[in-house]
Amino acid sequence: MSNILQKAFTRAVYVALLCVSGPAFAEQPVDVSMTSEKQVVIKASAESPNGYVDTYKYVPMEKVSPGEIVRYTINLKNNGNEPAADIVISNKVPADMIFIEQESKNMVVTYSIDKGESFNTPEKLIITNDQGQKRQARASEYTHVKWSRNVSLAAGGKDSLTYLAKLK
Amino acid sequence: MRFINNNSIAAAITAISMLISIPAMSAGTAAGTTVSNSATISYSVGGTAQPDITSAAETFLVDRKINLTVATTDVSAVGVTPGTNGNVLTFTVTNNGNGTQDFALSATAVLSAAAAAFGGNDNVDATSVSVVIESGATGGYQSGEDTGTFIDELAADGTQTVYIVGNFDTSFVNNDIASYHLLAEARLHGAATTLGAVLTETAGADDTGTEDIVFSDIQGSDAANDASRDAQHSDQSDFKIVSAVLSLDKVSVVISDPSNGTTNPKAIPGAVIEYTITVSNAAGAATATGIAVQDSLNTEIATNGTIAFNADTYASGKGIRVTAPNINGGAALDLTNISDGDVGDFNVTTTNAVTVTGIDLAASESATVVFRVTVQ
Repeated sequence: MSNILQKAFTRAVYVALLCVSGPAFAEQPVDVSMTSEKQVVIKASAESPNGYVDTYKYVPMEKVSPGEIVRYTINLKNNGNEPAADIVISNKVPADMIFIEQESKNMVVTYSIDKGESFNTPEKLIITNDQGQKRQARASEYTHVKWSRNVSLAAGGKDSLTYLAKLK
Repeated sequence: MRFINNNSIAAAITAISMLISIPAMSAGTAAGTTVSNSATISYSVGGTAQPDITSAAETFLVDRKINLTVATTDVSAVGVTPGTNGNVLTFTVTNNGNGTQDFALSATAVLSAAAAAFGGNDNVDATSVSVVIESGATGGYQSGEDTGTFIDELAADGTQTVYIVGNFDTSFVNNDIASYHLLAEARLHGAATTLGAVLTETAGADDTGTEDIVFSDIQGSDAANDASRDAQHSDQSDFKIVSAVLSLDKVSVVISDPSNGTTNPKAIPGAVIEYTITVSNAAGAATATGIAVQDSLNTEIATNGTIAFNADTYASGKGIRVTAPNINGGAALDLTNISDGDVGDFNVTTTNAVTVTGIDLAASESATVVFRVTVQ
């Protein structure tokens, strides 16, 4: 047995042992789930102090056709007995959808415009066109979104975040 | 189960999205596409990175959006000459939905006195109309080629040219307007070469696993038959009769008499009288071609014997003078009385009648035919 193979074998055994002995692994200590709803305009362009704004509600997914907006909710729950730290949630925006905006708390949100190879905050995502002109990337150009929770999720704790995306 | 490097801190793991790659279209994501989304979480417990966890995929099926646009490409009323067939109003039908559909087509006559598309009001209907689609073999309407009566399998974003073909008998008069709506209705695309069944919008709540049908069209010009969100759209165009409007005038003047000569001549026996027939086409009218002018003197000559035709007024054997824009460069031309290939004769085409043919008159033009007789 070569040295490398031996190391790999040892490591595999180690991980396998962890799997059977660690209660955390046996019952998936952190749950992540996703739900979706469709945005429906219930009152179009009502005048408000902020100008003309539509009033929305979110309904169970129904008849989604191009141009309509879906709200995705990502739910977290720590089922374990220990705080979960360094939580990072990653999501690839579905190819047929356009990212619009997100809403979350206690999260550092970064985006990728290069299919997940690199992530950064919006002001540092710069696109240079053929003429050498630079501009900040638009939300519609984000391919991936990453939420990094800046505090631990306590044992038994829950959190959720949402984002809106439009069907192309 | 993944191998985890104990020394690594939790690293971002790209989420997994199950995707079906569909070319981007302005009509949107194709009907029936599955859009799936899932999030991945990485974390650590007690300083030890734990295996990533990926949520169950959240999936829905893109529904079938039905949307279409009918638009005429005519920019003004289509001029029609009475007694002609194959006059066409031209439209395009565009599939703005996200899937292939068939389209049923129909022409609806605008009610009399209702507004036409390009000014004025509708006041007549064509003798007959039909709706056909451009076959693509030859650009523009070809009666022998363009015979399809519905649009078969028009892909998302596709556009098809459609004609309303109008036939008009000779009863129509200048400025008559026959206005029509083209109404297109999206249908199931069904089998090729067969017009698909009527679409029904899916009622009630969505099943994310089913491709529902959603109508998104707006109302078009044909308000009586076309509503918003009914899988139909329409637009309007007009046929307008542009006919020649000919008027005829005949005046006579006494040229001479045996007693007074040419000074204040009177219409006494032996007097020479000149007749001038003027035919005019009205301003704004269509060009009239092949106008024939005939003035019968048969009653006067044969029945009453009151006059005789002067056969040699302009030259030997030439008793008719015509002046028309299309004859002799617009200059006066003297015609022989016999049938010899020129455009006029006397007592040949019709007994004791002056006949001149082949006059063409555009709008606002006129022509004259002049001849003389002697009072008996």
